[in-house]
Amino acid sequence: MTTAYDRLCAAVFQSVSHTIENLVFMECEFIEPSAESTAASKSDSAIWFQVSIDEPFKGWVRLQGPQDLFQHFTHQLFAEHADALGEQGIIDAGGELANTVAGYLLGHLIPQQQSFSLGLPEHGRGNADDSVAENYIARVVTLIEGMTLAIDVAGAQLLDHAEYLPDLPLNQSANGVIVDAQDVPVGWGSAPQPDPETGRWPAGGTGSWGKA
Amino acid sequence: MDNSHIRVLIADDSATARFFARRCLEAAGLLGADFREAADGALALAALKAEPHHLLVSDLMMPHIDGTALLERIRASPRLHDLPVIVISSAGNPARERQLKDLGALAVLAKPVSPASLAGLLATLFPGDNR
Repeated sequence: MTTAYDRLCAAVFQSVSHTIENLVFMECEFIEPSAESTAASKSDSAIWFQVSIDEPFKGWVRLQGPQDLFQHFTHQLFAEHADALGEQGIIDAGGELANTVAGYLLGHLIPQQQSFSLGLPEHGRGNADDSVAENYIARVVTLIEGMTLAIDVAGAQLLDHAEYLPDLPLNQSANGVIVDAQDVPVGWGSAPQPDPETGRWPAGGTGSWGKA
Repeated sequence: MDNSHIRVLIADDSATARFFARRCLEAAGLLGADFREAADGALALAALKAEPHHLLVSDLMMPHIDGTALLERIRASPRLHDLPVIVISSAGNPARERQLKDLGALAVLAKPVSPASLAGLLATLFPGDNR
């Protein structure tokens, strides 16, 4: 039996892999979060991008990885124009990636009749945990062309909404890639809806909430 | 095919998003079109008032005038009232889509957008121009 935490991690990974594949045409491989796997994404040379969730609840989505990875994204996107864009190109591309990942995630977690609002991307260097409270509720780590990208999400209500997602596999397929967007069950995004009059959600299972 | 007579404005505060939207529009059939860019809603409105455009592709979250307010001002303007507007946003979901379509958006697409999701819309907007 999968928990809300498992479903949220699967949804986060799905959001990242779909965004990376469509925006910069690169594949993501899921790897287990560990001290080793996250160390590379949190080095002094790391760069992080964070988008706040402003409505219907408070939270955030943060991408963190080595500068080289985001530079690679920028080259994938802008090709021969990337060098001319310089540092600003990396910051803009990283912010857009974080924004798109957050939007994709919320778009599938939030009930269809409810809208949501995101803040503008912020960024910083080094270990984000030094400057941002270490209060994430889930962490997903991916490997992209040999470099690690860590995705942290915060907002306890993310777990409430994840209760109603169908199970998504988080195990690797033969080529190390998890599910593609087309493989997402039809039910994803059409989860049980809250009562339109009371706003209360139907009773759901209880997942074991925890931190990676 | 010559698309140089088709003028398209892409409004987004992210240069990455503008670049990516342009690539998708080109791949979806508008290669060679006259693409213009605006980094916020106010600049977009000024550009639309300065020159006629055939299509606006706009983000929602932008400084100064956001995408929703931009759409409202376009629909309130006698000159711009009929301009087709495609909204591309990371904050799109069915509830927001209904709201924006009520305001006159032709379509609301979630990021990351793809050429396939634009091709049908462009074929409707510019029939026989280049496909």
